[in-house]
Amino acid sequence: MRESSPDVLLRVESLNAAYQAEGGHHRVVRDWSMSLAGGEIVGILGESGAGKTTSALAILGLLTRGALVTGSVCFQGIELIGASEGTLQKIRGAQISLIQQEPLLSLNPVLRVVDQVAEVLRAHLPMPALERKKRARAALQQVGLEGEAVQNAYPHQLSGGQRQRVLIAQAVVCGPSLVIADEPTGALDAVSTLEILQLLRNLVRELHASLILITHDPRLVATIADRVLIVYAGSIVETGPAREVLSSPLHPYTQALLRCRRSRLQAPGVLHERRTSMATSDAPLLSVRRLAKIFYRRGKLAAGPTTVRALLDVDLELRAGRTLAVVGPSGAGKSTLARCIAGLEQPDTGEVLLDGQRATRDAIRRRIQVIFQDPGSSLNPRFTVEEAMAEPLMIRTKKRPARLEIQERLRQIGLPGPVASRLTSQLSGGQKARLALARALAALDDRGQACVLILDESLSSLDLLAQDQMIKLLLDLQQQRALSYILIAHDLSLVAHLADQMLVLRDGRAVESGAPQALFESPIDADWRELVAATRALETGQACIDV
Amino acid sequence: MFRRYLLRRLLHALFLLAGISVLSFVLLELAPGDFLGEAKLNPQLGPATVAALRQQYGLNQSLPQRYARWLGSLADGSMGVSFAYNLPVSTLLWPRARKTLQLTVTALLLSWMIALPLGVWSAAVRRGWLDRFAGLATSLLLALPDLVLACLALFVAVRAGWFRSNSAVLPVTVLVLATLPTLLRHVRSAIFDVAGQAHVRAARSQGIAGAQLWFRWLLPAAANPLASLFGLSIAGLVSSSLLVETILGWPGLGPLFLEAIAARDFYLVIGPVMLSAAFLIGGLLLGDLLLYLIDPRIRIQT
Repeated sequence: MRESSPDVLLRVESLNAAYQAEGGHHRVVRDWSMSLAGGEIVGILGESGAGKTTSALAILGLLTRGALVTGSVCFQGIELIGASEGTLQKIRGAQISLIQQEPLLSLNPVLRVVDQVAEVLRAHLPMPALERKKRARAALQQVGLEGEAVQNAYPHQLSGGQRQRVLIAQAVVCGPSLVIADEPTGALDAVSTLEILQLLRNLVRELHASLILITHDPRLVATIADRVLIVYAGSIVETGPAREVLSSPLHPYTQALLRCRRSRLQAPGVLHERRTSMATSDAPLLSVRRLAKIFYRRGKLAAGPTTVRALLDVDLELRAGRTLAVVGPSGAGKSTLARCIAGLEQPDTGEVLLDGQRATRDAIRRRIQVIFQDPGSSLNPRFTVEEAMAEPLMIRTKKRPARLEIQERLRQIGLPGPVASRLTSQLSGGQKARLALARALAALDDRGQACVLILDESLSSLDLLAQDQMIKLLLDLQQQRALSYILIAHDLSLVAHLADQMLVLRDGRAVESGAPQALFESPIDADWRELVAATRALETGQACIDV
Repeated sequence: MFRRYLLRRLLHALFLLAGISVLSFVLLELAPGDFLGEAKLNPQLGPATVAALRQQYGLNQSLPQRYARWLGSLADGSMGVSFAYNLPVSTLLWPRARKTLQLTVTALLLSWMIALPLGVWSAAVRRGWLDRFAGLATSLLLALPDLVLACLALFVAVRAGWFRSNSAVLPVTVLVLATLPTLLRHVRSAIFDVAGQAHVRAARSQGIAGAQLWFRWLLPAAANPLASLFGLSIAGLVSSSLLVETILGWPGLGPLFLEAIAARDFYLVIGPVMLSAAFLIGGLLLGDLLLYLIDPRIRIQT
């Protein structure tokens, strides 16, 4: 699709990028061609490792020296591939801005945010320091960060959404004609996600700039993009107007992706019925009564409150074979609750009962297991898959497990044959998650008793399709072994999909609890209501974010 | 908050010093022999004389008694009496300590002044042949023990006729050569670590480069491990040069300390030990305070 209209802002032709790897090159971006008109918003949609970020870095000449880039990137008549560092520096940040993923890591930890915005100005537009600061403050104001206190803060003092806004302020302060946003809403909840999308769209409209939105989430693309490129395994596999592609996809990958999204939307009722038909006893398997935990901060140099109330009188009940979802903003006490239940943290008051009895350390270890956020980081990278699988079995049975048993367990979890001898660090995200699940299961010693598995955001780092596979696995396991799950997540659509019960935490208190359907249909708590509305708007792709 | 923290750290330091002093007393007592051990073998001194001396030096007292007396001597600043010199330890210690500090402070400042630019430079030209040569040279210096380095320097200086007995040039050179490689490596790797971080790439993606990138991004972010290292090098100010001083004949604490140990001159050994302990604790505290000053993540918490 070659456009020869004069308002083409960026034209990419057969762009290839490869990293040096053992025995040759590892091609990450394969033969990309695209063009972008002024003022256009284009979404690049694909799973992690599909080459999205690499392509953005290649366009700006920011790949490491070991990378090999060929092809052509023409921006306003200037060829960027092979351009001198000096030319690129003048373009970066001034004419093309990149908003990187992971806002906390992308900000300088030792510089006030207003100064960080001012530094971008300093790199491109000569002006007196005072004027610079004034414009930096104006840019921060524009992205919704008002007041000197926020503007003079250091990145670690800000929330995830605020940090993202700082990055956006940096990106627009010089008035670029192209903004590339790489997963700009990665770790944000639905409310902040909508706000950030709205902000991005308004800003690029004001600047008459174009926006490239890189994401793995079709909802974001549906919400703001005019056009979408679907990338799979390094290649662009499908392209066209966003609404068209997302409503009638042609490529199998896009189809699978959207099928999986749709099943999420329809599923709650179906799953719930299936589960209620399962015979489970009425007595709660796990009950938590008036759990409270306060953290003290001692020996700290800095000012601030010395106590942090992580949990305050939280009650919950979970029956065998059921799933409880715990949701809430970060810092609400979700992980502390999980750690208290799993016996990793001693609550100050309250009790955790298993089968109506106060749980002993031993019982907790046998019957409650946790899979943490980012399952990969809880695996020893030097272990092979087989060794990692053997470890919990060895701890439980005090003897070397038979090879056959290990292989059988790996097969059950979908990691068959040849994978067993690989190092855990070589697995994909989905495979790591499955291995972590298998390890948790192996550590459970049910002796015929029902067990609890706590999933602390363990699904959120996965791509949609990998997430879907994990969900299927979890549901099958639940049926086979009458497992109970406590699911901690910030993705509400995932939660609605899986849970039969929900608990909404904020500032350590339970602000809502009950069946998901009820909580979604008649939300009481104001913040919760807002979150539900935002999630719904994102899900249906009907977010009203037009100016 | 800050004042309370400082107060607690100082109190902590005091306890630590007390503990170290007790330990030094016990360990020195456990070592065989005392100052009068050789006097007993001297036929010209009768047992009565030795006993009188023992009485005079207080060596017949129990260890706790001697410790208490030593604590008392801290109050008047004398830090006990040297048996061999028959002088308060402080009058012997301070001039020598000053000489040592002359040496080590000069060497420390010089090392840092060389290491910072050189380390930054070698990080900037990474993988060039110059960087490789610098890596080889630092490895070599790192592998050489101070003793060998000092002897080598002495040999060269005497051969070339540069040696001046009262000049600090030679010992300072040796000390700088001994500390430089460690500092260089730390500076270099601190810069490397930071250069690979996402926020530096983010800054580059915003067109920030050159001096601006170095002074606003790379150097401030790399300063943390270096501040701790600076504290550590302050900690070694009294003790790092003892060996070099002894070999090169510099009239600092080194020769005095060695002599005191050989003669079992009890309080004269305790003196430098306590001084070096005080520098160690002070240096570490200084490192922490520096971190507090330069890193807002430590200074300000939400």
